Amino acid sequence: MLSPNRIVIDTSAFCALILSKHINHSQAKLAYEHLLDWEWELWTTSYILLETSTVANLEHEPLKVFTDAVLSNIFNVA
Amino acid sequence: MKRDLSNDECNSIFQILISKYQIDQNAFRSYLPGVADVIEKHAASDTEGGHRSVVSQVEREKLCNSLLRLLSDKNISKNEAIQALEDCATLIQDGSLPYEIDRRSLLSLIQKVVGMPVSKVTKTTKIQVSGSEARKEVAILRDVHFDLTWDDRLVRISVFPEKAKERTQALKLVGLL
Repeated sequence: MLSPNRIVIDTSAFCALILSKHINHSQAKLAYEHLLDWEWELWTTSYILLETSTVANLEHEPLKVFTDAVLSNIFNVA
Repeated sequence: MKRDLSNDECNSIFQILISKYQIDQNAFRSYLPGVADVIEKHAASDTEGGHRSVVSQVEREKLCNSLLRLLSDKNISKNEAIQALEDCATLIQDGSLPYEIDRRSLLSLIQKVVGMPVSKVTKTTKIQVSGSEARKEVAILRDVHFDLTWDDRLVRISVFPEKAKERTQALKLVGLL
């Protein structure tokens, strides 16, 4: 396998992905799908996750879905 | 006064030569046999990580245009689908596959080659397309990888259904609110 490309997903990117009415939602979704499909190494930090949950105001069930998705095998959390 | 080339300049020249070599190996060899030997030796020693294809701006535009033309044709043959997928693999390695070519387009091309929808594959499957020697593996989609020759000809298609589940899981955060 070719050595992967790496990218850091920050709070703004997560918010654009999570919030369906965000101005950059469609663009972010398309980019995220490509990153997943071309197996880029996705990196984030625990601080970014905490900040995202605060900024996007994630509560209970949405927060669980978000953490389950991020803590799957796809993301590397620093 | 002449100056020595920097490492970056040397790498850049080498990448341009590799791209030219990949387009037409025979023509390249007829003009520059010594350079073709060096490139082939470099490819032979590159067994671990594989070589990532890089194309020039003109080649990139040419590939994108021919790809979009092929995709607009509903009745493409299996060979045309293979050609289109090989072009996609080159553009993916170059990081320049147009966003218009989405998962659905790629899946429909793969279906043309494999003869069945990828979603029907339930366990890891490898489908041989040609008998050439594979030199690198490229993720076309998270659940579909291609084994390619050094010059991006398709050798084998691998389908990983479990990776499709990972992808679905990762996409659950999209549009959550």
